[in-house]
Amino acid sequence: MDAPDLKSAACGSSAAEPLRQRGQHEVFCGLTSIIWLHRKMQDAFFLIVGSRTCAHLMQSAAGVMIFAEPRFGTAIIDERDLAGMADMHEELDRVVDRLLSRRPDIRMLVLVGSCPSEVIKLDLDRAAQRLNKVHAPDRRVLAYSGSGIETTFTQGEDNFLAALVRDMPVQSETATSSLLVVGAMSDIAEDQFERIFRSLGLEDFSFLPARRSTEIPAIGPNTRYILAQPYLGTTASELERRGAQRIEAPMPLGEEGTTAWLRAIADTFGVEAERFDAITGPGRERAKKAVAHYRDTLEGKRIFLFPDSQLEPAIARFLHRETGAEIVEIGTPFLHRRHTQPEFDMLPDTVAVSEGQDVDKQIERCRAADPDLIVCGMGLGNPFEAEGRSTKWSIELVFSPIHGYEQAGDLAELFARPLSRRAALEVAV
Amino acid sequence: MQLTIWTYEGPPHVGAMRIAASMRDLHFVLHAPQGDTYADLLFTMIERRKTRPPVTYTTFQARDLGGDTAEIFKTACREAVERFEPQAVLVGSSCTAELIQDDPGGLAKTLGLSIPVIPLELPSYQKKENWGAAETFYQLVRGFAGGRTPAPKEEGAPRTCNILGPTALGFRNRDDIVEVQKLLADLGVEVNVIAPLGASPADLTRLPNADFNILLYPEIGDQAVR
Repeated sequence: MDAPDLKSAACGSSAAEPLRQRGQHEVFCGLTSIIWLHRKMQDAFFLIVGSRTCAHLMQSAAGVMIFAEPRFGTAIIDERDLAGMADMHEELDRVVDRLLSRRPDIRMLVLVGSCPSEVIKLDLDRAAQRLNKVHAPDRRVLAYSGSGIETTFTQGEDNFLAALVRDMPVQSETATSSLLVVGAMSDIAEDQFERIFRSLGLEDFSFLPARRSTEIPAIGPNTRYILAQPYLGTTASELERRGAQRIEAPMPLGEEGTTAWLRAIADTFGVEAERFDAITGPGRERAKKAVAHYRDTLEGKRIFLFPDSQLEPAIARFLHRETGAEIVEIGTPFLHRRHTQPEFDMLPDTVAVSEGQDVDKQIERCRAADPDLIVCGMGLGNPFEAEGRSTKWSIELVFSPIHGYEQAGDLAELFARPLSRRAALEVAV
Repeated sequence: MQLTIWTYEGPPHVGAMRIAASMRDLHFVLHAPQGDTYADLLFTMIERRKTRPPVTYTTFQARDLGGDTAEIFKTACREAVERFEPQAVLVGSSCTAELIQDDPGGLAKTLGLSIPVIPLELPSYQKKENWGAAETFYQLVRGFAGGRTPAPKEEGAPRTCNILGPTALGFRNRDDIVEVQKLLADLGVEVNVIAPLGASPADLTRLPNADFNILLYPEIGDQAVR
């Protein structure tokens, strides 16, 4: 779809009628999720079955320093495999055997499909089943696709978690209701939520992904799940297929988001309002105070978000409601209507929304709108800076602890920092 | 199939990108899925250049396969030429596009573009980054300088040379060029063309005018020099 008018194109759009673009997408593929997933799950090894490009992506895009014992790698398909001179499944078994025999610390091996493996239709689910016959129960083998022809960035985590859900044991029918918090958060935020849950009187709760592959909880109709990340559409469908019921809430970002998120949980599990207020009160106050510190810098600032992680609507809601920023455009690689509804309920109807991308046109729209801050990927950041514009790398939103009360101030600071830095430089000049 | 924890070189299309990003007035249309756009940040983050590299990706998706990936390439190529107005355009495939065999060179030809199209064959499952860079530079030199005769020279004109092989993301390439130019100036030798770094396709047509070549980085320029 072409933008009829550069300045007004995205302005005519909305959450209900986003501007949909099918041009060059300047985004990562799902393999990139491995960068945080391998840190989160400390006994898992992610084996990409792909090309040299996949391996090059992981080391250069991630900027990852690989020391002695990394927990991800690439089985590079070569000419012999493609020419049929070698049986690819036998080759994969050989690579896996060698890897597992060298690394007794690995308890879960995850085969990750890539663009080339998807195009040649290499069946990694079948490979995982076969390898499980050899290596289970000591080592479990799972498979999912992180290919760039099917997934964008965080959707790699979505497919991984969906594979974990398929692998979860069945909860007994007599089980009492349990809470499952879904989506990789920083350990520090997870620990804080754990303490809050306990204070609220919740006993049976778990996080997905767990920190160890052996701690995967059982699932069934008595499971209530809540998303801690907005990009988990496939995982949510898989959870519901297993009988789990969703607790609807905005993402736990900022004071308001965190409170609404915790309240949705508290209401589901019958926590009394007084107790809820007593437990969350101090955190709310700390979060408000911490965010207020950055309000002067961010209030009234016009912010343009390029598509990256699907966190964009939630981030826009936080920036708009809690720091007083004005949102010029919310770009998102994919708009999950049901999961983002609570965010859009808190945003003005007029906010411009675009789904997908035609990067050159979006850059033109952004230049025409001349925002105060551009939230974008690393491929676009420095060129915008060279034009004299302030940017924030969106990838920081998946690597920094941003969830919950104690991180609300840090989340605001992420966006305030480039603006303060520019202001400081201008004074200096 | 080989287990790889660390790869020193990228795939050959990244080498082709380095040549495209080294030169002026040249654009590269790469048939590739969206994830391959990560390579932009090699230039914007690691090299810290002020502009995005001159590369357009087709970013086809699973739902396009078996349908209209060829059409997506043609649209991307036509729009890139209109938007960036290069002197010439490189076209090629990344590893995934190589498997779907769309033939970017043939497709680009059907567009009837008014500028030269240099098709690249970049065998991703056999070769690596430096090979891709060398091959791309060779194809460009062959396309623009091949078969040209040197311009006639005046009696007593200073000796001239080309400096070949420096590229974007090359280790200390910019510093080396400065040093070599100083040495040449001391010797009374004039520099005809430095390529690919900073050269345009039109500059490549002047390569035969030099008396000799300095091959500064054989891994990039060897094939072209021969």
